Amino acid sequence: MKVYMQKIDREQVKILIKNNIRLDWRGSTNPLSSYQSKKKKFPGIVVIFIMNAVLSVILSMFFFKTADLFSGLVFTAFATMMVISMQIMLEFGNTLITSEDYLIIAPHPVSSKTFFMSKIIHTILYVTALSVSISAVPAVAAGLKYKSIGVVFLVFIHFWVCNIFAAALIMNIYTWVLKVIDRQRLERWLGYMHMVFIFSAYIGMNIIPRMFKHVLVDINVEDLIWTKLLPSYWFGTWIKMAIDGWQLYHLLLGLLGIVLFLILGKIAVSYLSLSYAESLTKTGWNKKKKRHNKSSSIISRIWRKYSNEEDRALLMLIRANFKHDIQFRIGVLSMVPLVIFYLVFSLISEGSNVRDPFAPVEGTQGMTNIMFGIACIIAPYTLIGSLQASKQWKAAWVFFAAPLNRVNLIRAMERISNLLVTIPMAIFLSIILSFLYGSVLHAVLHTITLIVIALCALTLINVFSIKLPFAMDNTSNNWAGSVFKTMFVGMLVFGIPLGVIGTKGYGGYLGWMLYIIIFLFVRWLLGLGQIRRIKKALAKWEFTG
Amino acid sequence: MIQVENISRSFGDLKAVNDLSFRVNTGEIFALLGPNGAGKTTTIKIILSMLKPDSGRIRFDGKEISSEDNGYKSRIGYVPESCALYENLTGFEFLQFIGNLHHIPEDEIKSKGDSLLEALDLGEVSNQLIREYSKGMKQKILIVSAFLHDPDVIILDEPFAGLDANAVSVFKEIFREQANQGKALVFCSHILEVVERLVDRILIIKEGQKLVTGTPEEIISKTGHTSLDRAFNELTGAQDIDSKARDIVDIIGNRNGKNNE
Repeated sequence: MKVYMQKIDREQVKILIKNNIRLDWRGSTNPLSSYQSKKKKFPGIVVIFIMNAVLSVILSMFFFKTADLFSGLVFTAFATMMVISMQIMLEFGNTLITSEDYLIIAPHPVSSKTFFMSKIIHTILYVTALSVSISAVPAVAAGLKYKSIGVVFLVFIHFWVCNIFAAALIMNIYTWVLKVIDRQRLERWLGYMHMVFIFSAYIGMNIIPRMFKHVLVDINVEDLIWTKLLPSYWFGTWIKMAIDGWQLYHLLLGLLGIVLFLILGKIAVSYLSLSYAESLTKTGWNKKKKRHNKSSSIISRIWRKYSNEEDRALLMLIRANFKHDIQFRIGVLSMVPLVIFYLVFSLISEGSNVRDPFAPVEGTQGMTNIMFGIACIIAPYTLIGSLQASKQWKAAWVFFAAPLNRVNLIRAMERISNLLVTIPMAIFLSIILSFLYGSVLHAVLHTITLIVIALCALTLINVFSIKLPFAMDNTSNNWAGSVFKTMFVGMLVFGIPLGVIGTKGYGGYLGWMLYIIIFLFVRWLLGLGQIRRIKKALAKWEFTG
Repeated sequence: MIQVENISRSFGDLKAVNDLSFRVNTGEIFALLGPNGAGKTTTIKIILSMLKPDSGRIRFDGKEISSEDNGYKSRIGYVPESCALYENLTGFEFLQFIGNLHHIPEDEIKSKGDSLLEALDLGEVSNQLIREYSKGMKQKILIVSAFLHDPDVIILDEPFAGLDANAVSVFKEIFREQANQGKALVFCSHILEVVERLVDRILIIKEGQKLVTGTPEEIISKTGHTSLDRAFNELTGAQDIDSKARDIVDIIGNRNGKNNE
């Protein structure tokens, strides 16, 4: 009887998959969502497909740069494994982790195996779609280079197998980690991992194309020992053997790939159970010690004196969310590597000299200077972006019910991000630039100018992005959109003044002060525009939570 | 029909259910009562194999159940306390989804689902997404989905939350009629006036342990009060309700640490 009940029920699997896809289509946490399409014209998955298509063009170059088909296959498939793994974790996490499933499905006669078979197939469907989007161009490129239609299919299949392997590996890691540590710790752990992956992806997107020039010319995968550790090598050996005849170590590595694949499948089936889903619904039961209020410090007394109620309410929410909402914490922390990346990228020119962002520009150096400006606004803007969305967005009813000043509340996001990020950033920049230029005065003047321009840029972004704090549902591709917006406004706002100052110079201290006064005046004007737009927006807003 | 035998379950240091035993018979409405955090929902989740007990066992029709054997779930209907619904499905799609999981033929789901939704004044919104429903409408969908496969045991955790008075009256009649047809109903609610008039037997628990069991009349007479809510207050240790309420009113009236008076 028990054995019968644990069988996979095909009908239920079909129903669960159909339901999952329907929910993906209508929900807001998956790029397939058409909910987002109402605002953004097309679902987020289209953006991912376009991104994959662009990447696939770059990847197809591997086939022309590497010594033979096998080498091309190993490198390109491994690159796609990394990309697909990240996409599954960052964009399609809901296919693996959805806590609501357990509460709804567990009371019904659905076995663990049935439930997780549906999850696995659901994931494989996405992996297949992503795999096709990233493998189409390289497959055709390989077919063209080796003048064989068969190669096109082989590349397709090889990519697909490697990507499924990567997805299976991720699923096993998720479930294994969940069995070893509790959910809260897992979320924290995954959150940090998520941040590292975002950073890696971001760095990768910028660095890898530069590397192409140097590292891949006529590489033969057989010359590199470490490539034998890549799953794309193991699965590629079957193609190698089919084309060039078999060798013992190819056969052994090919078999190793298949055996590991089977083991992953076996572990997945034995690990995955409804108790896995149950653990997702658990809340922390550990009693925590009550915190006693500390006596007021000077800083907090100053803060209370010069802040308004809305600032204080928002700061309290930020502290609570940072402490308890891992998604928010990760969103905020993700600005640290980004700032470092942009600063390093803009300060170090061609790996040697330290650049002065206000020095006259030649050729592409203008872009590097603008990167410096982006480094100044990316952190406060990331914080503002994180403040706008929340899992608990429905609690925003309180902003509608309470007699607070909502104009102040919306502007408080900018004020607090300046307090928490822009000012510390200015101090940090002054120190770094003083050290690099060997002149404190030079560094401070530059920093003040950059920060004042950054304040203008931030206010400008906020004029066009009016939202209440923590009042918007989290959507999956906010991050990419925010970065794009920051880059665009950064280029626009920093491009002109940096160009002018770079060409004309400050014109002495008086000239510098004039620049600062002009920037502050522009910011004041933008602030007036922002207030006007906020009032207009507020007149239309309704709470729909 | 359901026998709960000495079940215990802890979460860290918290003992949510502590050596609890009771049985629910066919044809009766059985109320599981207790203050917030008493262990009612944990007990229900253990009965449904959603949580594993640290010790003890559950028997369904005399057979011991385990988390691996979920066949008995096809004979149970469950209305959870939390409004656990896929909010991006329409009301009808949700019923269809649950019906499919129970292998109810498609045409039966259609006719039964439509009729039930119509009878509960949800006919016009059956094709709207659940996220657009009011709380009461969502609760109706939950209750209907629990009855869709005509289960033998119905477990209702706060079934009246968010329902209007008319809907409560209708569902009370439905629950009574189901019990008359030989079904067993397990009922958790904080609306003790309803419990007093609706249920056959009551078990009151506190901190996961049994305090008292019996018919509503037996429990009321044991404490010497005239209503179940007063008896419940006394049994669960919430004494001197009036002075507690007065204290709270005083606190509400205090601003900046000074009394308005």
